[in-house]
Amino acid sequence: MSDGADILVIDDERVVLDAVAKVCNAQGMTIDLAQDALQGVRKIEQQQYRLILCDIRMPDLDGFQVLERALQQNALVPVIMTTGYATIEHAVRSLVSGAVGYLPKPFTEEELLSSLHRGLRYGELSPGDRLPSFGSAVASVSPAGRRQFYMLGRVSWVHTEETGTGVVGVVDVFLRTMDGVAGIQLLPGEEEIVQGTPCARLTSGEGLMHEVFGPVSGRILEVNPRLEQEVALLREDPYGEGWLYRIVPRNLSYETTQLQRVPQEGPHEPRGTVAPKPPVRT
Amino acid sequence: MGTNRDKLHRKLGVKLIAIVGLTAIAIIGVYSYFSIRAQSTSLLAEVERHANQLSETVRKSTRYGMMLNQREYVHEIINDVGTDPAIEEVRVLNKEGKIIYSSNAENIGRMVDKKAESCFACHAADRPLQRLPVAERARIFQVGADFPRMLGIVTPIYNEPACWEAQCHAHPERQAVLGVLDITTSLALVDDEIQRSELQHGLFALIAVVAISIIIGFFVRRWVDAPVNALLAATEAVGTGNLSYRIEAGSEDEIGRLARSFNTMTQKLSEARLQLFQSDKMASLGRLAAGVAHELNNPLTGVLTYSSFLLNRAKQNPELHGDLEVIVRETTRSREIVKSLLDFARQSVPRMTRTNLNEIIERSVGVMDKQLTVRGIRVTRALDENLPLVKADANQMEQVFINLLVNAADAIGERGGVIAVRSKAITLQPYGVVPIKRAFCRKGHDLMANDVKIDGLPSIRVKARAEGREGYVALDPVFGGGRHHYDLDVKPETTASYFCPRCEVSLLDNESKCVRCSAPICVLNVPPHGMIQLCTRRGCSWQHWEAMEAAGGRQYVEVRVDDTGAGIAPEELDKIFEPFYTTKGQKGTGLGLAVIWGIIDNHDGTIKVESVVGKGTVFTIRLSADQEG
Repeated sequence: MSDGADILVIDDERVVLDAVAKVCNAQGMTIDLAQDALQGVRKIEQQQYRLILCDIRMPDLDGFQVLERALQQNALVPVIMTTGYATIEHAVRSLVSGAVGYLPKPFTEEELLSSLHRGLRYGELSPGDRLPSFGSAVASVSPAGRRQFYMLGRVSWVHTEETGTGVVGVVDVFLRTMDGVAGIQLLPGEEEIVQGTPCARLTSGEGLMHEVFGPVSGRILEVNPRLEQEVALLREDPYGEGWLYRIVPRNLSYETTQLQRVPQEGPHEPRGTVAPKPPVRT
Repeated sequence: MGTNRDKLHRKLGVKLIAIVGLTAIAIIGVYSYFSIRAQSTSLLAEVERHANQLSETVRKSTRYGMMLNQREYVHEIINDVGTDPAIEEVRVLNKEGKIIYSSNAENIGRMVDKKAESCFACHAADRPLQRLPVAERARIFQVGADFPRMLGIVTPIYNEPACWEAQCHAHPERQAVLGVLDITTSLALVDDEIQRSELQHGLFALIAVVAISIIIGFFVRRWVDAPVNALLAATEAVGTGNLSYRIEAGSEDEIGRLARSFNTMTQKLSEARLQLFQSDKMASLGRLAAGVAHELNNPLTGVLTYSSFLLNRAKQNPELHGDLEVIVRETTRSREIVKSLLDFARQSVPRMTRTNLNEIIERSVGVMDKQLTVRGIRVTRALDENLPLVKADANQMEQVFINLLVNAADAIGERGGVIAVRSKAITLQPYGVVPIKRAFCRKGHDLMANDVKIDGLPSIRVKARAEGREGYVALDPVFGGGRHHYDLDVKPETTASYFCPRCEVSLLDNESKCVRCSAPICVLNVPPHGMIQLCTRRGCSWQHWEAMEAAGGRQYVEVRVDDTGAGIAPEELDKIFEPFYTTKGQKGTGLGLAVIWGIIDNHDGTIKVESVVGKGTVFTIRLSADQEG
């Protein structure tokens, strides 16, 4: 628990802290542990960490308050939220509130490592690269007007088409936090994707699996036929040709209220900050 | 319990029999009295007429003898006539009252006083009357208590030319009446007749009353006693909590209708209780499941992380590797089980949007179609094209329909069958359903009381005065609901005056009365829906809400899912919505229907199941299609 540790783990369960420490130490990462939220906040305020792994349900403060404090301290710090009470609401709220990842408990070593790796890589990105850059996609749109994107944090996006269908893809930041995209596993057509739950699996160059959380729920109409062969499309044109699915949204009007709109009102600002404030759920 | 029932029996049956018996006695008594009187009058008249006739016959048959003054001959006739057993005495009196002929020989020559009863009719006045009608010439008398009654009839013997012209002793011409013929007959036979008749009437009355009592008793037992006892037994059964108790309601009369409405009431009660019970249980189970899942996930994290960590480092040790694989695999399975628990617990916040249920049904059927076709199951749809939109969470509703389809398919099994999905718009009356959310007195004071809740809704508080006492009444905020709370010590059926608790303005409506019981009514302003009127008599549930009633019933969307599967046994029907209740053995978690129930409950809807073993099961879902609430 020396100064200058890479990762801060905040969890009120000792066994979770120990397990994470075990995995991280084996990987040569240094970690700092906080067994309650207040202690975690104090540590965040005193030190800079490369990554914070934070539980959601804790006494005193909940994980979202810790996340808020951490982002106040450093708007671009990578935070991964984890919880034993894994719900769609927690997943969406975590990602939309500015967490870089969401990891439901219980997790395997692989799942933990892939999350940590993405988080650490995110911290290494230049501040500009930590924000989505879909400016060209928005600008290049149909004469009818700009395309309206809805973002699930820095993970996935959806935009609607005139026919009422929706197109789902991966946010460029997510791809940048991976060590290259070596492979992709998509769901077959006719399957359902659900907001806040995994809808695709990307394999990175290191062989780690990264799960992409779906931005909205719906039935898959079409899977991008080119992706299986040309995984590179994902990185080349994440907001265009690199789409994943065309879906029939199930509850678009509600689910999109939970997401960030891009562009927001008014003229588009290509590199403006994405509003970190989530819609407050009551 | 038994004595109560006996008492009631006595009360109803015996009261009725007593009343009808007394009425019968009175009617038969009056009838008998007049009947006997008429009979005896007519009998006496007959006897009189008969005696008169006899008397005339005697007079006429002795006339010739008298003319010729053949006394022996007259005597013979009178004696012969007097031998008739019914005739007591035949006598002839002369003007002076002397008995000159008599069938009773010893009386001949005796004088009879003119004041005697046989003479009284004519000789009462100073100057004797010469002519009298038959009835007045007759007299009824009794010599002593032991003797039969007698009827005497006096026939005057008038003077005629032959008499005063006769040479014998010649009666003077100016004499009008020469003497009288007096015949006395016994009334013993007539009296016997009357007595027999009285006896007969008495006997008839007795038999009639007994027969009426038996008949009434029989029918009271059959039409009143037995059904009332059945009702009593039912109320007692319901009182002890058995809400599935049903009365066999055979008849079409009021008691039959009462029994049927009692059955409806207990059925509604049991449904409401089940709904409430479920809702309560679901809420606590939801909390429990969430808590358990959360608590379980942390230790599972330890197990899964450590075991997967070890697994990744035991590749060179195949035996260890294999064992660790089992641990990781089983822990991952535990993770899925906990996840399904969380899914169950997570139904608390539906994401409501205005939704067309038909689309969701189509989508759900679409998802299941292939799988069902393979199993030889046909899905028919009868969807109402004009189905109103409902506020619902599309995901959750789809989960509901898919779950119902899966259940239906499992119930049908491998034999193949039909699942029928129907949707339609229905209208239910607002009475007993719509809550009153705001109520004011005529001066605009808010009457809603949050501290007294009735069935979870804030009640309407009014000040009440009755029988010189003052208190508060918390009115049931459901339109048509009668579960008022009385903070005022009055008996049922008492009428109270209602006032605004703040400004004391009277809430009574002086212009109209309760249409059911004519008690005064109270009127409350319920913006924006006008006014609501309600009866102030405790126990009367009459209410009238012009705006609501004019708007008619409220719209609901009803979806039915019918299958031709194995059906569910009645004793299992109550349990199927309980979490972890499963008929599928290892195949199911037992959470499916519990989840459905929770979802529908969160949508303020209702779900109902009916089933016949061997025929199939019907699930009926109802969601409100109204804009508000």
